[in-house]
Amino acid sequence: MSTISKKICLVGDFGVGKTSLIRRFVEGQFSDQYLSTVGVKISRKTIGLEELELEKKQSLQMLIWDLEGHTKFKAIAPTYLQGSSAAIVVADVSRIETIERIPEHIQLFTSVNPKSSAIVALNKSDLIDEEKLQKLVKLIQNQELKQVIGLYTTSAKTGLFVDEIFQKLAYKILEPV
Amino acid sequence: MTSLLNKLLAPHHEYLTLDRDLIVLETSCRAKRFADCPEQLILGNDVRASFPELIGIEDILLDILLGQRTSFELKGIARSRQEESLLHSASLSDRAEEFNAWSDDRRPSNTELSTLNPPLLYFDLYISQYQEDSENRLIILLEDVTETMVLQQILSQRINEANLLLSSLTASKNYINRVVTSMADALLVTTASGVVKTINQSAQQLFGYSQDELIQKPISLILPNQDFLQEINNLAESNSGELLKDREVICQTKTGDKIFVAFSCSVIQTEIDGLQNLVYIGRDISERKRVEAEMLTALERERELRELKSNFISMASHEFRTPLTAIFSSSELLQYYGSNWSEDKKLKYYQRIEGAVKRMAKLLDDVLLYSKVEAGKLEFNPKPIVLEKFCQDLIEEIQLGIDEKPTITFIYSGPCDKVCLDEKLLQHILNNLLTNAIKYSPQDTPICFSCSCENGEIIFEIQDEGIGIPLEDQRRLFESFHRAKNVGSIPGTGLGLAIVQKAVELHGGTVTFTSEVGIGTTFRVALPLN
Repeated sequence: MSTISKKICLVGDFGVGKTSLIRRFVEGQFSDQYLSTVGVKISRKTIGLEELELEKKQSLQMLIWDLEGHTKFKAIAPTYLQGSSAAIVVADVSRIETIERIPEHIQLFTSVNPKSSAIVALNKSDLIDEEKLQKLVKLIQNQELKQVIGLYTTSAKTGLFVDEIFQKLAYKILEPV
Repeated sequence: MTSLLNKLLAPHHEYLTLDRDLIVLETSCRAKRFADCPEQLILGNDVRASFPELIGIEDILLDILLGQRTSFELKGIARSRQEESLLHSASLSDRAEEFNAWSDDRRPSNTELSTLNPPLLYFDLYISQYQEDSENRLIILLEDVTETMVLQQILSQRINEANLLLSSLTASKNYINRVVTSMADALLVTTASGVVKTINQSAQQLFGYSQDELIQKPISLILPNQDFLQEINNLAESNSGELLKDREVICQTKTGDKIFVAFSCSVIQTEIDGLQNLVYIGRDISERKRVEAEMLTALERERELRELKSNFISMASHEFRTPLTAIFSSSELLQYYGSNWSEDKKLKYYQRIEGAVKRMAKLLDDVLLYSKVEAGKLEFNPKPIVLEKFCQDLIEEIQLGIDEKPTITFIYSGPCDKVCLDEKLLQHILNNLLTNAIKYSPQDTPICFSCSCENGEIIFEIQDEGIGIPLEDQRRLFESFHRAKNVGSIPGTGLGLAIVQKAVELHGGTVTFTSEVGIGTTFRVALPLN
C-alpha cells in the first residue's frame, strides 16, 4: 500500500473554527474555548481510500495546515499557501462578514495554486436555524466561485460534515488529472 | 563548514544542509528540537520526514538550488513541544508578567497562562542555497521565535476576542433595532421623569412626529393626560416590571388630532442602580373605538325600535279602543232606542260614529305616513306654491272638521313670491301644528297663525294659549310616540311632531318652539324659500 502526502490549507477569518474543524477531524474532539492561532500548525492524518478505482489500497497522508486567521490588521501570508493541493475555506455562519470574505480567500488561494481545488465550509451551523442556514448557502451558491468543488454546512461541535469535507478533498486530490 | 556555521549561527539559530534530493547532509546539534519527528532527522534521510512543511514546495526548493530564486521563508511554525524545551517557560512567564503590567491591570487568564507554558514551540524556517565542492546545496536555518509568538498569541487572542464580542454585540444591536423598528405597535422609552429617549417607526407614524421632534421632549407632548402619567410614576416607584396593560388613553398627534391608544407600560432598570426608565407600548385603537361606537349606536337603535314597537302597540290599543268604544256604544244605543228617538238625536249618534271612524282613519293615515318617514320613503317634490291661499284653504279645511270652530287669526305679512315647497309635506307640517294648537287649548282661546318671508326664509309661527309643554318633556317632544305628561285624556298618537320634524328636515329647514305650562306654546318653522 502506497502512501502519498499532500498539503491542505484551512483559510478563513479569525475565530471561524479552523482549528476546531482540524481538531474534530484529527482527534475527534471539540472545545468551546477560543484560542487564537498564530503562525501555522501542521497536523497529520492518514486516510485509506480503498475504493479508489485507479490504484487499490491507496492511502493519503493529509498534512493539514492550520493557518492564522485573517484579521483586519493582518492578512494571510501567501507563502503559507504555496504547494497546497487543496484548501478548505471556512466561514462562521453567525458572522456574515466572514461569509462575505469567502470569495476573497478563494481568490487568494487559487492565485497561488491555480490547479488546486477548494471546498467551502460554513461552520458553526449548530448555532443558527435551518431556514437562515439555507439562505446563506444560497447566497454562496449564487456566486461563481472557481475551483470550488463543494459547499458544506459544518459543525466542529457536532461533527456535522467534518469528515466528509476532508474525505471529499482527499478524493479530489487523488483524482487522475 | 560545520564549525564556521556553528560559530556564525550559534546561539540563535540551528541549521540543516541538504543535497538536491533533499537528503540531510548535516545538522546542527540542537536542530532536532524543531523536527516534527526528531528520530527521523538523521543524516542520509529525506528531510521531509522530519520537516513536513517542505512537502509540496519541492519546486520552490529546486528553484533555490538552481539559483532561480534566492530564498524561501516560513514564519511562526508551531511544533508540539519536546520534553527538553520546557526549560524555556520560566523566562517566558517573566516576559508575560511584564507584558501584562504595561498592557493593563488584568491578571493573565487561564488561557493565557496555558499559553505562557506553551505546549507549542514556534520557529521561523529560512531556506537558502550555498556552494560546497562546486556543488549547489540547500541550507535551512531554524530560529526559535516562541517568545515572540507567545506574546503575539496573547495580543491576538485579546484583539480577536474583543472583535468577536464587538461583532456579536453589533449583530445583536442591529437585530434588536430591526425588531423595534418593524414593530406594528408604537414604542417609546422615557426617563423616570418622562423625557423621551427612544421611539420607533410606528410611534413616529402614529403621532406624526419625526424622531428629532420627540427625542429629549416630554412625553406629555403626545400624552397630555397628566393623571395617567402621575399614576404611572406612582406605580413605578413601588413596582418593577409591567405596571399596567392595555390602558386606553386619549393621545394627541402633531396635527392636534385626538386618538385612542391602548398603552402597556413597564419599568426597566438602567445600568445605574436605582435609576429606571419607562417603556410604553401603544396600539392605535381609534378604529376599534369607532366600531364600538357604531355598535353602540346600532344597539341603541335596536332598543329604540323595541321601545317604538311597544309604544306603538300601547298607543294603538288605546287610540283604537276609544273610537271603537264610541262606535260600539252609539250603535248599541241606536239599535235599542233608535226607534224612539227623534231624527236629530239619531243624527247626533250617527255623527259620533262617523267622527270615531274618521279619527281611526286619521290614526291609520298617521301610522302609514310615519312608517314611510321611518323607512326614508317620504318623497320630496317641491313645486311653486301660492302660500297665502294655501294657508287660508288649510285653515278652512281644519275648521270644517271641528264642531266648535276655534278662532284662528291668520297673519300673512309676505311677500313670498316664487316659493317652491312640497305641498303635501307642508300640509302635514301645518296641519299637525294647527290641530295640536287647537287640541291642547281650551275652547275660545285664540290661535295665531302667521306667515312671513325674510332673509330667504319662509317663517311660519303658530301660537296658542293652551296647556303648554312641561320642561321635562320638551327635550323629547319630537320623538315618536312621546307625549307630554299633561295631555290628560286628550287623544293623540305621539307621531304628529315626529312627522313634522322629518318633513321640515326634508325641506332643509328647522322647527323650534317655546312653551310654558299654563301660558301657551309657540312653534316656529323656518323653511328655505327655494
